Amino acid sequence: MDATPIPPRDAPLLAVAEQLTLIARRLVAGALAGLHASLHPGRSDEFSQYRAYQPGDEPRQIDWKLFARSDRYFLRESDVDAHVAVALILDATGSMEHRGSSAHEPRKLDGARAMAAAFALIAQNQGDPFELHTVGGGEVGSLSTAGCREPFRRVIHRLASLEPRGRWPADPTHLARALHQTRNSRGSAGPAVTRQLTVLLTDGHEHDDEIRAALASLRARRHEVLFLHFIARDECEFPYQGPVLLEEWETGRTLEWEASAVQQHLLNAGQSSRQAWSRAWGDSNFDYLPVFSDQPLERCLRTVLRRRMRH
Amino acid sequence: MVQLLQPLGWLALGAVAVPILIHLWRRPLPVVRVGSLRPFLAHRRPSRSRWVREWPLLLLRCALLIALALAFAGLVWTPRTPSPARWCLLLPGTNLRENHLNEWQERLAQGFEPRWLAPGFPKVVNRESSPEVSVEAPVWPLLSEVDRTLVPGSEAWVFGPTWRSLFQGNRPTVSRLRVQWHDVPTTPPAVSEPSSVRAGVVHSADRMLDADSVRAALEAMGVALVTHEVPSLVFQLGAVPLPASWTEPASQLVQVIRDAPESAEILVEDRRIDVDGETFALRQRVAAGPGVPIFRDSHGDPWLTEERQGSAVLWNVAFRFHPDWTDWPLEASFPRGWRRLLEPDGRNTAPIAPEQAAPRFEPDSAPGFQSSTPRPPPRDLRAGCWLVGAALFLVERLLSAWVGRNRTTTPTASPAS
Repeated sequence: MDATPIPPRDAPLLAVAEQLTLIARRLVAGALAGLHASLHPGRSDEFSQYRAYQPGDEPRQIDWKLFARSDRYFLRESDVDAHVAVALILDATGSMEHRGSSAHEPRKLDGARAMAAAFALIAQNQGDPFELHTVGGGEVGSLSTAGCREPFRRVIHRLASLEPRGRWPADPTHLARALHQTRNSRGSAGPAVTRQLTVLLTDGHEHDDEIRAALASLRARRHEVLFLHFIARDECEFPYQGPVLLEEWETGRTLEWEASAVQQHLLNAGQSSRQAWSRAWGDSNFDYLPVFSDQPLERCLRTVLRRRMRH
Repeated sequence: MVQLLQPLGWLALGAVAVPILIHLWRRPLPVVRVGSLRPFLAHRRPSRSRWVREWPLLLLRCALLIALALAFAGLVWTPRTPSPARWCLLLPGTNLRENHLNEWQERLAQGFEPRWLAPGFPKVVNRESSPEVSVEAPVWPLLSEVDRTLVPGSEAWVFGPTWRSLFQGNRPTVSRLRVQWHDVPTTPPAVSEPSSVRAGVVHSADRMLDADSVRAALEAMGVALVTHEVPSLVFQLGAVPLPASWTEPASQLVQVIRDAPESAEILVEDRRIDVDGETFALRQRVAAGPGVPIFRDSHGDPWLTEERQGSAVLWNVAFRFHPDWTDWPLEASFPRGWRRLLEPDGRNTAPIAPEQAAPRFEPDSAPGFQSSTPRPPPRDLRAGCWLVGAALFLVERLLSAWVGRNRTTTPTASPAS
């Protein structure tokens, strides 16, 4: 876990950080434009509405004064100031270097860290605690913002200094331990946390189901997982023909292949993979969203927020 | 046989190595970097190597270069020259026995090819079953045909009798085939057909008895004696001219037999002659007449010679048919002997010398020689090479474009700096 303060001043790094900050702010501003404020009914001092009692509701939630006046059971509901602890898990393995076939497509990592910065900004604006875990080089780097004065800026600096390298850790407990440690360090400081939201930004490339294994531990802890699957356009279309030399980003393995002979199979396999990810947990705690590298990130973020509003 | 007008053109075929080397040089494939090879490995379908995939293109290019090289080098097609033949020609009806059979087998052992001396010259499979041809078919035209068929330097041995009836017309001259005749005495087939020969006898006054003997023999042979018609056989005894009606036209006169001329010096000496297997005393004779010796007496001097005058055959007998000269006219075998000699039905089984049976040989190098079957000139194949090269070039371009279109890929992603 990295608890160091803001990194020393490095002109290129600062430039990237500033750029990332701007991108995040623009993303958030654009995504939030037109969205209505979220109302989460629950218990609080700020009254929202009465609701008729239904079997299964706790009797202590019944407004007895109203019962005395109306001789009916009503529950008093109010807007909740729910605090969601957001864990950003950013895949920084070698495959996130992929840029796609067209020149204007950004690297997957660039898109992923822009989205991570946007989520951090939103969390900071809402007063939610958030933390950043970067996965790459076979290890997990964690950054907790508990007790920090400028948590967003700290996260931005970490994101700015990130470069893709290596592979996902083979041991799936690495990530679970990192999440556990940051939650412990957060302790009782800050607002009371009612929900755990884990945002996983990855390209989904795994060699031995290591990503699925890492997510399994989150499912056991009843985390809500938002899976942002970054996909380059050439990965879902594979517009190559003739003999090509395939090279794996993370391992450097090569394979000579007849592209046109396997194109259809790859497209089907990619679609099946996306469907498999979308039904990974089979419940509402797992939300899957493919993010194509040539797609505006702002639209993706707005889609995420809309889904969260309905949640 | 394929030849090049410019032999150094063979070196141009080395250009074929160029496309092969280029093909063997493995050009780097376009690199496509992917996040994971798992989906590819799940669909394991290794691409064929380029060597296998592009071999039609390589073959086309090699063939194109070969065609161009051959066109520049001047490709010509020369018909293959057959090697000289060595044949053993067996005359149909010939009975090969004893030493003749040994001679035949010895020739075969030397590599001579056994064939029938018959039209088509079929191979001898079974000596006993000769082809269905007339035994007396003229052999000289056949040998001339063999000479035209075979190449210079060929050699042939003919096994068969040397009956005069087999050799009609002028003795031919051959230029390619050296013929040697191995005389195999053979019993002629029996003659059953009536004679169609018309004979005439003219004689001088002092050879009345000779003429009577000849007439008696001819009558015994069943030969018709004519005086007013033109005979095909004439016995001219003594110094007496032939009637003008017989000699005009001369072509009707086939054969003339003369006895010893009156002016010749008579040689009195006891000798013997062999006719049709019998021996007769020869007490007087004259020097042999002009022509090719046919029969010889016990001293080896010819008593019957042959010369040709136009289409007529002239036999000169070196004695008279008189009892003072020889006993032969008094014997019963006199007509049978003449039958053997004359063969009234057209066959003349009188043997001739084997060296006279074989055609004259004058090899190709002889001045004025012209082959009767000129070899075809070499065919120039350069135009064909150019045509084939153009066609191959067109196909190569089409195939190359097709392969190149399939090989084109989108540039791979490059890592951001």
